[in-house]
Amino acid sequence: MLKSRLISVARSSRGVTRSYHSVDHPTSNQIVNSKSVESKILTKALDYIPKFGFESICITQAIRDMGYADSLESSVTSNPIGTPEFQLMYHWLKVQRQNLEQLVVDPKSEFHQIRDEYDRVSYLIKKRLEFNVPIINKLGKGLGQLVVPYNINRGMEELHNLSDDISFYAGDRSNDFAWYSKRLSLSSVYVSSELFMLQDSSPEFKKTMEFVDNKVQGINDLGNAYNNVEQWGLFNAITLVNLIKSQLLRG
Amino acid sequence: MPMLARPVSSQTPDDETTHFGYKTIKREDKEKMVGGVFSSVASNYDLMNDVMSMGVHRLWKNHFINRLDAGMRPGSNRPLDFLDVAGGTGDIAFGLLEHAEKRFNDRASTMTIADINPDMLREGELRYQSTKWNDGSDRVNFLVQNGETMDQIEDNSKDVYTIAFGIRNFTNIQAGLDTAYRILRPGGIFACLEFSQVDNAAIDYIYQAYSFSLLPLMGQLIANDRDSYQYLVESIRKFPKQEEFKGMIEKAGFYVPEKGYENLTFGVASIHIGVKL
Repeated sequence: MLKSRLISVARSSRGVTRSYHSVDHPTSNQIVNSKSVESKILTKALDYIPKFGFESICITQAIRDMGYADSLESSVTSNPIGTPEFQLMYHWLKVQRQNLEQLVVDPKSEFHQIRDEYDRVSYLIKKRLEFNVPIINKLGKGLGQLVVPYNINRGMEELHNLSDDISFYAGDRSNDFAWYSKRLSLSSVYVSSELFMLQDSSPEFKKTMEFVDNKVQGINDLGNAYNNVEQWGLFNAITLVNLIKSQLLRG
Repeated sequence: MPMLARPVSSQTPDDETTHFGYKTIKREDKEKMVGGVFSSVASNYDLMNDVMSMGVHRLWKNHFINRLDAGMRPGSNRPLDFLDVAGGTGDIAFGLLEHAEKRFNDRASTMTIADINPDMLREGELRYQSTKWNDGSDRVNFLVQNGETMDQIEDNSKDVYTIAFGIRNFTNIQAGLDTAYRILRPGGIFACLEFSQVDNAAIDYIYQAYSFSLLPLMGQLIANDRDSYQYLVESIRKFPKQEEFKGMIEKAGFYVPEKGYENLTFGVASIHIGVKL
């Protein structure tokens, strides 16, 4: 009963969006609303990104493909969240995040063979980076949209959503401060790997994939180091208390 | 005892009555009375707008045009047909054409400026004579039309329907929206810039104090016409709230994109969008 009461789902008129992960409803996390007209236009526009990059001409082409006049473009440009170019980038990020989810939800995916949490993390980051491959030449300019001051909030939000997704799929069950530090470090790993990838000319981005493994291993080591220091600190604190107690007893 | 019921029923307009600012009047009179207001303010309409909104209405209109970003893109096979309703003095209409030419090099799309009030429309025509659009290409034409019926405009004949600070003067706003839906082609855009409700209580208090005490006074001093400006202020207050108006747009048949509207200056004005599919 309590659980069902805790699941408060924000219902908009066009479907269900939630801001957290539900263990009971693994496929209910709707990242892209595929029914809305804007998202149909933008999804179609993604096909043109390898050709034109993250430019509004992709949207124009998508609208023409759908058989409408250029007037329909106003339905995208009038959206106050940002320029058409930014919306295209933002939509692209969401679609890729959705793709990553589908990969995890698929029972036949090789993902389920991996047991270790950190191996899962680096597997997911590498998969997500592979989605960049078809548009890698256009990606730099698109990423540039995300750090424009006006857009940076949404860009960061989407990045943290991605690291939250990855941590959740990897099986993170932390409920202390580690919850935040894990996600923040994943975000920084993801961003640095993506930037590495933009410069990477090795075949099949091998160097990028190694880079991800090293970085994730780094988080793991850091986590272990933190735990060791914590244990050592606790041991010493208890020893100190005991020492004081014994001194007091002696008078 | 029937006295108790009366104040309520006299405030809510029934089938035969409607709002004229805070007054409740007969439906058939509203058109005439609004006509009176605009005929009397036509000549110094823009001056008054500048004074009353401290110039902000120009920013709003500019923003409105930029947000729409309408125009025939390069490589398109058909120019767009614009319709600016309640376009009177033509600032939105000429702004849209200017934007389309600058951004997309669109010199082919047509513009129809419709207004119910011949005096306001004459102001626009007068201004049109001296603009670069008056080049003999006949892209711009003016029509005296009632926005609720638009009897001279065919079904599915326009691509972009704009109305800035006009729709609240309609006797039957829903009929105006239904007509907009009728005359737009599939893929057409309905865009409306209108005064709205401020969502922040503190700012709303200041705004109400300003609009109810200062605006009619300014109307009296500058245009020597207190009643017309009293009407403008009251009609702003009577206009439906953002969410309600969004519902009316949907009711007319339009698809309203995700957010549906954008508030400008804390909601003093807002931009509403509808898409005909």
